Amino acid sequence: MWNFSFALDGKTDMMSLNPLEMTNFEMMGTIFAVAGVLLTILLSRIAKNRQRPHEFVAHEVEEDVAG
Amino acid sequence: MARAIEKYFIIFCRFYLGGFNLVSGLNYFLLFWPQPTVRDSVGNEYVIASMDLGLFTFAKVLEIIGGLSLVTNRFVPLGLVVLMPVTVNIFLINAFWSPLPHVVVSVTRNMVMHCILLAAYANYFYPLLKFRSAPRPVWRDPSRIWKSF
Repeated sequence: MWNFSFALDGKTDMMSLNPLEMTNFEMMGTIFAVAGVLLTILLSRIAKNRQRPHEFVAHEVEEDVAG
Repeated sequence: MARAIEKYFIIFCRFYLGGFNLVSGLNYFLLFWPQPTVRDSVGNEYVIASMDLGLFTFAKVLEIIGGLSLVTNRFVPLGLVVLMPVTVNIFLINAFWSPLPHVVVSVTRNMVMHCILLAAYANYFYPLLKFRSAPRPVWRDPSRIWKSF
């Protein structure tokens, strides 16, 4: 049975093939990856909410006025 | 759905490889964790020689630059190319020679992720496959560098 054991002390069992037992660098990679994916999902959701259909409203500005 | 899985898998690989290399590179200079010790394996002498030559320090600088580019999503194809020699060297030294199964799996995973990312960003590398090419030196038109930003 695989056990969930992160090691922050650099003392990982290097003979183990347990994917949940990680070295510090692997763990940091995993933390970055999970955080990155969650952040991307969050940002894309926020962006989706902000997307509105473009409404064109004609305004006459000074440059358009002939003279 | 498949496209979404593909997108997030690529993001996962980019952040994993970036975070791994960035922290590994920073740890060499800042030592917030003990450095991994060199174990008995055939590649030992190569690692020790590269340390003596200062290549190890150079590799760690490359890891920081490449890791930063992957994590911040800036110049990603360049970051992948910069990191490639480091990943390949670590893979070749450890994958076939390391007595530690965890290390073998770890370096193989990094190599596979790197290849996946190179394939994911392949559209930036297609020009390299030009069969016949002519030189177009950068010094003739240096503005092309910042134009390509």
